[in-house]
Amino acid sequence: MNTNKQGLAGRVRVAGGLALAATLATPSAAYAAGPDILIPKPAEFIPALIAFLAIWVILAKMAWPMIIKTLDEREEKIAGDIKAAEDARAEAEEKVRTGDERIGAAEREAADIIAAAKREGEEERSKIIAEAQASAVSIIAKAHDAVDAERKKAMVELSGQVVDLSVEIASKIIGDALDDEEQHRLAEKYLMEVGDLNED
Amino acid sequence: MVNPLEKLSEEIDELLGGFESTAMKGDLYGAGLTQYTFWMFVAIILMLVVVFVFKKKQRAHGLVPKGRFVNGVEYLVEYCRDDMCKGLLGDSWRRHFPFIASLFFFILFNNLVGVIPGCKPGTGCIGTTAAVALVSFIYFIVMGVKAKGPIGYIKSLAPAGVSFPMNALVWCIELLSTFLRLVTLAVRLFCNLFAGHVVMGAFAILASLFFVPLLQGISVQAIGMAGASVFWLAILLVIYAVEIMVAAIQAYVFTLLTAVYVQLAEAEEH
Amino acid sequence: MGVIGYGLGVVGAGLGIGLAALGATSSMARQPEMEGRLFTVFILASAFVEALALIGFVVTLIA
Repeated sequence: MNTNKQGLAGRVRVAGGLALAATLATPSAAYAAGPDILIPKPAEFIPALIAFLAIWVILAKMAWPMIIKTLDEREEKIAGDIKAAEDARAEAEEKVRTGDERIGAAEREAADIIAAAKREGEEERSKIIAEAQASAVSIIAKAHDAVDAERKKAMVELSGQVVDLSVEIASKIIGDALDDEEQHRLAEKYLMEVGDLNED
Repeated sequence: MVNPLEKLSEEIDELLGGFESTAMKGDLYGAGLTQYTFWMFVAIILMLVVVFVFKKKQRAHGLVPKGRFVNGVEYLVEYCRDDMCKGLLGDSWRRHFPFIASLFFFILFNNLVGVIPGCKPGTGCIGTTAAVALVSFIYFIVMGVKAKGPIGYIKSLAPAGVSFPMNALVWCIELLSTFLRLVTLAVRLFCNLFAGHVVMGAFAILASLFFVPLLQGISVQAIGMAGASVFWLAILLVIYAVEIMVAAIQAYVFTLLTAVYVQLAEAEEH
Repeated sequence: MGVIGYGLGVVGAGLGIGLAALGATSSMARQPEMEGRLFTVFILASAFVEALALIGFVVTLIA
């Protein structure tokens, strides 16, 4: 708009200058163009008319269609190129997105696999530990049982031997005062008492 | 010491006389060659050279515009196409572009050649501008007749929606203003260039007149007048810059008005 | 006399172009996006106003 304003100012100045020039010019009567200046002279009018029509025809036939065609082609090419570039970019973005999706899926899958493996390992471990504990418990129980059985057996044997021994001892001391049957009964009765004492 | 202003009116008369069309050869009112016509042909040759060199160079680098020349001319062409044709004429711009662009380039080159010192603008005489204005006058009437038919175009001069007695009056005024377009187009272009060149000439004369005393003999007064001469020269330079702009603006205005008239002639009734 | 008349005529044309410039600049300040269209309209209006001044100039030369 700067040029525009300058042009405006210039035009006003031109008008001012014009007034000056006209003022200076008028007093002398030597120059008397008058209305003559506004009447087209055939010597100028006819060549100008012919020349302009010729230019119009020449340019309209030989220059403007090609120039406009070039401009149109360029515009189309630019528009086409921009569209192609946008398409390519969209495609690339699509590819990147699908790639990202694939990577994400793979990562998720890997995480799943690792988690499953961990869980399985954990289960395996706890199972093994449980089994080990169970077998340890049963081994211990069996050992206890065996020990008990041994002890009972030993006790039974021992008590039998104690009875025999005491009977023998008693018969030796008292003689054959008591028949065998009576002796056994007595011995057992004492033994029971002793056993009760022992057990208490 | 002579007052330089005393000689001024004489010089101005000579200047104005120089602006009058004079036949370099032949007869002014018959077949002849005036100084304006001569410079018009110079401008035409220059324009044809520029346009055809542009056309050739435009394709030189494929579709890529290269260089100041190609880009500069292309700016003008696109200006014609976008601002005048597409902006005003709408869809029918392709039909009118050759005429509008030829008109613009013809006037622009004539005006610009006239700005070069020593040259005269081909459009600086009423004969040339009247010829161009007549062509564009006939062009827009023919376009109106083509769009609406002869009777339709004549009827369309009066705006629709005005009742009978006023209708005829408005039609008469519109008819008159349509013919005045021919006159104003021609006179506007001619007067702008003529007045601009007269003013430039006047200031050039002032500058030289005030410088003359210094050549005749060095004195305080002569040096003072030479200072005034420098002032006139500065004004001359400013007006010269303005004239370059006026040359472009008047080409633009002429072409734009033609485009507006074509648009009005083709416009649907409203 | 003709020169004085022309001077008076130029006052009117100057006012007209000044008003056109005023309107154009203030509209452009308000709506910068309309600048191109406004400039065209401004140039057209100036051309019309200027035509009047030029008619005055021509009349001065003739009379």
